[in-house]
Amino acid sequence: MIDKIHHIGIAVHDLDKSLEFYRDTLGLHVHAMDTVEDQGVRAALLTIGESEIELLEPTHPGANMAKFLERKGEGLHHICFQTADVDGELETLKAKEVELVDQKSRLGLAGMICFLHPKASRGVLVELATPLEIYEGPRP
Amino acid sequence: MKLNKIDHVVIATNDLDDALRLWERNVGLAPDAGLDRPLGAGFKVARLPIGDAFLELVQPEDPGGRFARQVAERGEGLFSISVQVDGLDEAVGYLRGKGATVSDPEPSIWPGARVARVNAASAHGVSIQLIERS
Repeated sequence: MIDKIHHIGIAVHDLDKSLEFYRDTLGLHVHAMDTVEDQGVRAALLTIGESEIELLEPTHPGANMAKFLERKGEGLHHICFQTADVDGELETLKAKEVELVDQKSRLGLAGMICFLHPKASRGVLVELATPLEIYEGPRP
Repeated sequence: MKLNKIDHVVIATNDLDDALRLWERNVGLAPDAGLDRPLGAGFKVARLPIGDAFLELVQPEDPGGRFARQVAERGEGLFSISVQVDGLDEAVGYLRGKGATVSDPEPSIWPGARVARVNAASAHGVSIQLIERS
């Protein structure tokens, strides 16, 4: 059961440059900035209504995000849905043999997260997230 | 200018029936059954409510149309986002003043809304639609 769009991820070459548009021109509030080394991204999270825009810049040329940018250029990268129980969702997905990127939930910017394989939704990279404030499973 | 929220997210597909099957089975999102096809749009469309927004799955039907060419070029997947504003005309004027390329406001394919499109080149590769709902 998913509750809402948690965020929309956008791949950018230069985070600071993209903030000039998303923060300064569109007027969206940046509520967090962070670097996730194991995912190779530097990110800014901007609030829009009950959801977020997540701007993602690769931290090094070999990062997955850098490969995405080489292949497709800047633009929409993934959509993340909030669920109260990411682990329960994963079990259900595995039972249905849905193609997954992550077999286990892991810590991400949005809380405990997992990615489905784009094949599972005809080309859309879908992330599921349970924010840590409401996550009841084992902490990483 | 204030962006109130994400109104909807447009997802392009070459097979709407298969996409609907997958979204319902794998993500748990089902279409809004009461939806009629928008008039003269040249594509098939389904709307999947989620929270205070919805996903719009769109399949081009006119192979020579602009949308079909864009899908052929970019592939299936996330296509654009639509964000809700109050005062569409002012928002368009403001963004143009900031150097963004924005289309003139026009009626949406859905009743009761007007839209304008921010060119993807102005928004780091993202097609952003501004939507004003009456």
